[in-house]
Amino acid sequence: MGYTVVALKLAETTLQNSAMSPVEEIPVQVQGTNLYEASEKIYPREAKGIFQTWRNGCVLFLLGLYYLLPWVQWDARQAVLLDLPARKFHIFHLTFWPQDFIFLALLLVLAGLALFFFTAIAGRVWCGYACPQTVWTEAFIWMERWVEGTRAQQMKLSASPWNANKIRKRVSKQALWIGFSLVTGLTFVGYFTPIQQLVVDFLNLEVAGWSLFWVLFYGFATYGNAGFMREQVCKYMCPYARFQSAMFDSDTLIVAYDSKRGEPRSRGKKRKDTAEENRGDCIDCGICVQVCPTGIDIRDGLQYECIACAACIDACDEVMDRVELPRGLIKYSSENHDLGKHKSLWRTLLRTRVIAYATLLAVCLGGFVLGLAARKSFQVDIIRDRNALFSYTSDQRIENTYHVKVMNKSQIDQQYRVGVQGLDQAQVSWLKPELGGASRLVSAGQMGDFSLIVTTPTTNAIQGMQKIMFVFTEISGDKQESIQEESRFFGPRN
Amino acid sequence: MTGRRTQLIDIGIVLWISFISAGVATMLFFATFDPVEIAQLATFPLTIDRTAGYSLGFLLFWLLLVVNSGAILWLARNGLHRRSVEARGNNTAE
Repeated sequence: MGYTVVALKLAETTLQNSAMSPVEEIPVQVQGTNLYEASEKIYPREAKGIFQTWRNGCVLFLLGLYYLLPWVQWDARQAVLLDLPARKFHIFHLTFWPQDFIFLALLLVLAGLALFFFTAIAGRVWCGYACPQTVWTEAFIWMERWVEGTRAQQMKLSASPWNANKIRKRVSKQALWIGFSLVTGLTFVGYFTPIQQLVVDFLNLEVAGWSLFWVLFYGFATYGNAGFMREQVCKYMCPYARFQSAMFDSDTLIVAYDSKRGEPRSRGKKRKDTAEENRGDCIDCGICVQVCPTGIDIRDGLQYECIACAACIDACDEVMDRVELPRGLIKYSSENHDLGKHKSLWRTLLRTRVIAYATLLAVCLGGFVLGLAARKSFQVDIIRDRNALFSYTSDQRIENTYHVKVMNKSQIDQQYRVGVQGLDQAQVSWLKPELGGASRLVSAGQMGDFSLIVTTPTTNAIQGMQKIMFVFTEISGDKQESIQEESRFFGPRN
Repeated sequence: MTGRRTQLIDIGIVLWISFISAGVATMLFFATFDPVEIAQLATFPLTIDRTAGYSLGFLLFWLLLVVNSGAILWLARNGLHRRSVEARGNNTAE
């Protein structure tokens, strides 16, 4: 029980300080605010409870998702493969091309809106439960605990002189961290190049060039962010941590200390000597500070360093159980709740801010799903020939030439037929159709660069320019899709 | 505000925010342009494959953004205007 001793000593100093000041004043230990000094490493103490169970579950799920997803196979290929060298993204049965960029953009907008939505309702759940910074930091803390032991043991080891034991533990920890980082980097690159081959190559030391660079780069970033910088990324580098309060209102869930119930806090002899009605429920054990991964004291009120991991809630509940006081001295609460304005859950959820975010989210999600459902299996871009507006053929027809790019987004080789509408007696044909046919072939996932010729009799009065409509139709496949594309036909001005 | 730790934090912020921005820029840029085709348009002989193109593109965006935001931070943090502002701040005992 080494940590209890440490906690007691800390508390004694606090007690001495507070003895000199008026009773109402709450002793506050200012931590990590002196920017001239090197930051002190935070050794978060392990907390156990309902929220930590949820949190560990989330972390394990997300880690599992990250490391296992590239290994899932689909139709004899990697299910999720962002094949940058081939400029296409495979995501299960869908394949996205650069032309589908709108979906990626929508996905990012959706992610942003979802973040706003959940922040408005439940505060920083993202920070505490799902942010990669949190997830990998937790994983690194687990490894650290596994090798070096509890918070107190870690602090003792850190303070102890270098000896065989310390070297052994530090080397083991670094080895674990570096190994884990390398696996993380390898998995990251495995999203962009087939992971099965990549791992085989890596084990044979045959990965070179940019793949190796990115494995090491991403591994190093993981090591640095999760092993060393940890909460400092949240405190100093994260933009979301600074502007998340803009999404907050007085009904947003926050981790809050019930100061009305807790204060005046007291401990030990002083607590015993104080009449029961004169002392708050906070026994000033300092455990809520010890478990905090960002090293703050939640009793000072809401701070932007708080990532809402709820470790202090679990820790305090455990302490309250032990001293036989009701739980919830530190709890998920909201400003309104603290002010005693009790609203039903539904009334709380149905507030303008939440409805606005939900509506935006629903519209974007609807657009995304509809767009995905209406996605055509091919795409056509038409550019008029810039060399000549029009020319005459030997059989007295007016001729216009168009350059056409046909993008076959499907998984099969496809032939395309073309027709034209909006021009009397017009004839349209590919410049070099397939032998014995009137279509052009584009291999699966490829883009074809073709020319189209449209002619109409000179008797046709064009009046300079006329809008026409091309219709492209697939020939093979289960359901033949067609696309209409508008363009212009030029002729002599009569 | 010239402590060593402040400088480290500044470097961290510049690197990290530029990294995210460079990621977004790379995505937008290469979704529109194919690095292989850009390489063909180079004014000198340049042969790179796509992976190299994306990687160099990202690193170049990152470098540019680091230089840009680093210069902004440095100029905003230092110089005459800052000194006069700080002097005034001290007089009014913030």
